[in-house]
Parts: sequence; structure tokens; C-alpha cells
Amino acid sequence: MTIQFFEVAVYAAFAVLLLVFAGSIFFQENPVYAIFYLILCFCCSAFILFCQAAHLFAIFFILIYVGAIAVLFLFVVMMVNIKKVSIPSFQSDLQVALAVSSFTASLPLLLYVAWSAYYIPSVAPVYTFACAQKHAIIRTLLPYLKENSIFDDLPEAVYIGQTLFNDYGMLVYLAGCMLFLALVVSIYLTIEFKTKFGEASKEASKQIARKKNYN
Amino acid sequence: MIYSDTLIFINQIAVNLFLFILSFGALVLNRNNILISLLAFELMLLSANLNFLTFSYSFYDVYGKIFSIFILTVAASESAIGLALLIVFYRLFGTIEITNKTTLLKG
Repeated sequence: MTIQFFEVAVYAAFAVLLLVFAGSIFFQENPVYAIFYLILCFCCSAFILFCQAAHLFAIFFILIYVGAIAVLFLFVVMMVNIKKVSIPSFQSDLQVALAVSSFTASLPLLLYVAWSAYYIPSVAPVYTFACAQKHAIIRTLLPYLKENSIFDDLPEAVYIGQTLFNDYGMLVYLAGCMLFLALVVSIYLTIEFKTKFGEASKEASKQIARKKNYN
Repeated sequence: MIYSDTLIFINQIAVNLFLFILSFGALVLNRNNILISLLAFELMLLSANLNFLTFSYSFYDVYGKIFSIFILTVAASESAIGLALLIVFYRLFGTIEITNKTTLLKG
């Protein structure tokens, strides 16, 4: 029982947990429970990233996925006051066929993945950047493997920052513009301008309507 | 014994693939409401994101991680707008059920 066995065993446990939680999202009656399982999925994927020495992105996942997106879901569920989400059931043969075929479609792709692990390419891969100093052999061989890089032993966040804000600075700016656009669109879609008490609405359809909301 | 990094690499690709197919199946077979579709879509984006990061960390590449940041941005924006649309739908219809009888022309 080496340390590598335990490393893989712990990773495998959390990978299985990820799939179990993802499956149980869609069989919940309570919407808050469904979002809770989604949060557990995000936390399991953060742990899996830790297992692969991706510490920065594990924290990113928890900050952004759990801290922003899941909280957004919860606020909307509270606002819209969703009480019950009906559990899916098969209502036609087509649905059964789709479900079964979507599971069996993964099998040949899994075989391809298993094959490609033992594939020996004829050309050696080019190591362009070092992400994490995880293995001693990479640390020693890296000066002979790299081509034109100055930075070889910086922490991961510095590496990503150097590449992201220098080579892809405009993309960061565009991503910021997209987030701003999402903010404006969300507010525009959901804002309601309420009339003061005693003042009739200026829309003709609202003045002659019998009910306030139509279902 | 196979080196543990290779084992984790292979199994992580399989996990990502299975997660994607599972959530795609839930998205397609959904007959209940819009929230389930949004949750399934978030899981699909998560599986693609994990795939990018898995390959990038195994091949000591940096471009996969940079693209993963942008995928996070897109996921956040898309969920914000999707939930805003859910609120508008609820205001129009009073419920968030989608069945074969639901059309946007009612009301």
C-alpha cells in the first residue's frame, strides 16, 4: 500500500461522489436540495482539481461557482418561491431509448480514452510552460525541454497572470464587458416600474384590463 | 503498477465525459421546469471546464487554464441571464412548468 495507491483511492472516491451527486440533482422534489447537490458537485470538482495540483483553480471554482452562481440560483428560488419540483418519469418509449442510448454512447469513447493512455507518439511533446513543480524529474529536465521561456520557477498564479494580462489582455477586457452586459440585461429583464397609489397606469391595455396578471 | 498520475488522468477524462452525458440526458429528457434545464446546463459547462483543466495540468500547458477562466466568466453570465429569463417567465405565467402544452403565445 504505497502513497500513490492512497492518492488514487482518495481521488477515485471523490470522482465517484461527483457522479453520484450529479445524478441525484435531478431526482429531488425540493429545489433547494437540488441546488445543495449542485454545490456538493462543485466542491467535489474543487477537490479533484486539488488532487491534480491545480490549487489556484480549485479556489477559483469555489469562489465563482459556489460563491456566485449557486447563490444566484438560491436567491431566484427564494424570490420565485418554488415549492416543488416534480421528479422525472419516463412517459414514452422514445424517452427510455434516449436515456439508455445516452449511457451506452459513453462506452466506446471510454475505450478510446483507455487506449490513448498507452499510446506512444512518434514525436515527443513540447513542454511549453511548467504549471506546478510537482515532480522532481520535470524540475531537473525543464531547462532542457523549454524553448524560449524566461520564467521557469515562479508560482502558478504569477505564471497565469503574466500570460493572461500581457498576451491576452484584450480578452480579459472583453470578458469584463460581457459580464457588464449580463448585469445590465438581467436588471433590464426583471425590473418593474411601479405606479404610485391613485395614479393610473399609462398603458392602454392596463387601463381596460380586468385582471392585473394573466395566466 | 501504473503511475498514479496516468490513472488519475484517464479516470478524470472518463468522469468528465460521463458527467457531460448525464447532464445532457437530463437536459433533453426534462419535462418539469426551467430550473432543471439551467442546472443541467451548468453541469455541462462544469464538465467541459474540468476537461480543459485536466488536459492542461497533465501536459504542463498554460493555455488550457487561461481558457478555463473565460469559461467561468461565460458560465456566470449565462446563469445570470437565464435566471432573469426565468423570473420574467414566472411573472407572465405564474408557474415555471414547461410541458408540451406550454407556449409563449398564451397570455
